[in-house]
Amino acid sequence: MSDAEHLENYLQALRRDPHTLPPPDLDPQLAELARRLAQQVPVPTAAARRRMWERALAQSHLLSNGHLHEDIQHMTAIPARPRPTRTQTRVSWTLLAAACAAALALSVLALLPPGGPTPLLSSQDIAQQSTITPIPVASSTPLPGTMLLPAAIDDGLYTSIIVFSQTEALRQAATQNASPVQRVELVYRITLEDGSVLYIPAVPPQIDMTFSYDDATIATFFPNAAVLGSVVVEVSGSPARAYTFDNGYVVYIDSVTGQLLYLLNLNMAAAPLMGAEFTVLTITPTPIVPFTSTMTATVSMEAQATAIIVTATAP
Amino acid sequence: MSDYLADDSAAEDQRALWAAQHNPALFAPVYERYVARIYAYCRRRTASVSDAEDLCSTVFARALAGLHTYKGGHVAAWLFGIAHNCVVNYYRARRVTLPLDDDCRADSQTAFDAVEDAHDGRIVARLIAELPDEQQDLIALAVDAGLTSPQIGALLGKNAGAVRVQLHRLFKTLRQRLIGETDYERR
Repeated sequence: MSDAEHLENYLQALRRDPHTLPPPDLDPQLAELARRLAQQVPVPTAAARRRMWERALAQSHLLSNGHLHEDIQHMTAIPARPRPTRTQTRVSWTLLAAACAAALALSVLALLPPGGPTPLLSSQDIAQQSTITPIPVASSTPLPGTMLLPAAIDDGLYTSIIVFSQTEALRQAATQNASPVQRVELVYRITLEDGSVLYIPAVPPQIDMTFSYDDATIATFFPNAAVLGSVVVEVSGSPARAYTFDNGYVVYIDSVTGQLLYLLNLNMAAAPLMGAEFTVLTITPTPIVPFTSTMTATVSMEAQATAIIVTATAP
Repeated sequence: MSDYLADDSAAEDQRALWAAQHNPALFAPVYERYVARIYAYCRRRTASVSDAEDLCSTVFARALAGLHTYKGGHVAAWLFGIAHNCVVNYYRARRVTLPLDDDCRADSQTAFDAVEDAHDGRIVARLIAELPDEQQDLIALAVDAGLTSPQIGALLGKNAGAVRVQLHRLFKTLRQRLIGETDYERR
């Protein structure tokens, strides 16, 4: 192998491990220079990452002459928006589908039996951190439509963490205050204590979506869902809603003060969305735990926003 | 050597980008995965942190707006292709020659300071900034962006072997200049 190849290999190795030793056959002075250069590689701060993402979203809209996919239009920056009125309501059905798919995906982690592979949210955690509230579900008339969500995984329940917040700081506070097993960072991939890897495909703080409180609008964007009616859980005075899907799952979404819905999808691999191909990496078939009540766990945080853990019930 | 970076999961990247074509919201993880490398490349090639952020934003904006142009292949190559073009445009527009912050300049420093600076890499930064534009780009692609010679070659339309040799020569040149500046060899 030539010195040039040794140098290239060492540069690659330094990216993986800044303390890696140079190949013995590489000119030591070149190795030292490579090491110094590797140390100088600038790293953007978290704030810079957010700024750049926000600018990219704004610029991409302009570059596409305003014809950008609606999902990108809805991937807006962090600043709070006015609370949507019924006439101003916008709903991204794709993101809403993503939210609910995330809800479906996550409860498989959250509701695993004790000792299961990924005890994301144990009953003890819920007892300690949440208010467990039975949610009365109104009678409903299912709406005709095509199933948009992915097929349910055969066994397992799903949950998600959805945070409503007017500000990114509050949203972060909500997630940071979550229990350790729930706690997530704004990273693409995280590894749980048991070694399982979870994916966060839409976590960047710029992902938000305006939520409709209007039944008709919800039905329009979510034709496969039957709006069961308001499920009133008094969280900052806003109603919760319940959606049922062809697969029999019911997803409850609480709303709280603040108009933005933030989605943390912790297991993309388990929730292939919109026909996209994803490899299921971490889901281990788990017996369905009899699940007779629906829980809404509220993680306390500062005023004006509340983190809501949304759960889904088994059929 | 593999055509991929060791920390690249090329198939995973491709799946993410295919998915983003159908649902652009799913571009976010691609951003998360590549922003550091794109930023590092932009930072090396621009005159300030502010310019680097602007350029990096532009790269991802173009990527988002041009998701439909991705036809497969290495996501890194696709993104850095955009980044490289953005850098070229940046230089055309500004005719910038020295991508250095004030704190990277060593023009008026004492010999003692120079040695100290060599220790923390400032002289290295200055020496790179004094290289011809094409060579600076090569350093940025190889070191900051972490691209391999085949990837750089594909980006610049060059043979991978030629890129590897050019990079090696460049390092040797830098080393010699560093020795001349700071008595580097004795340290």
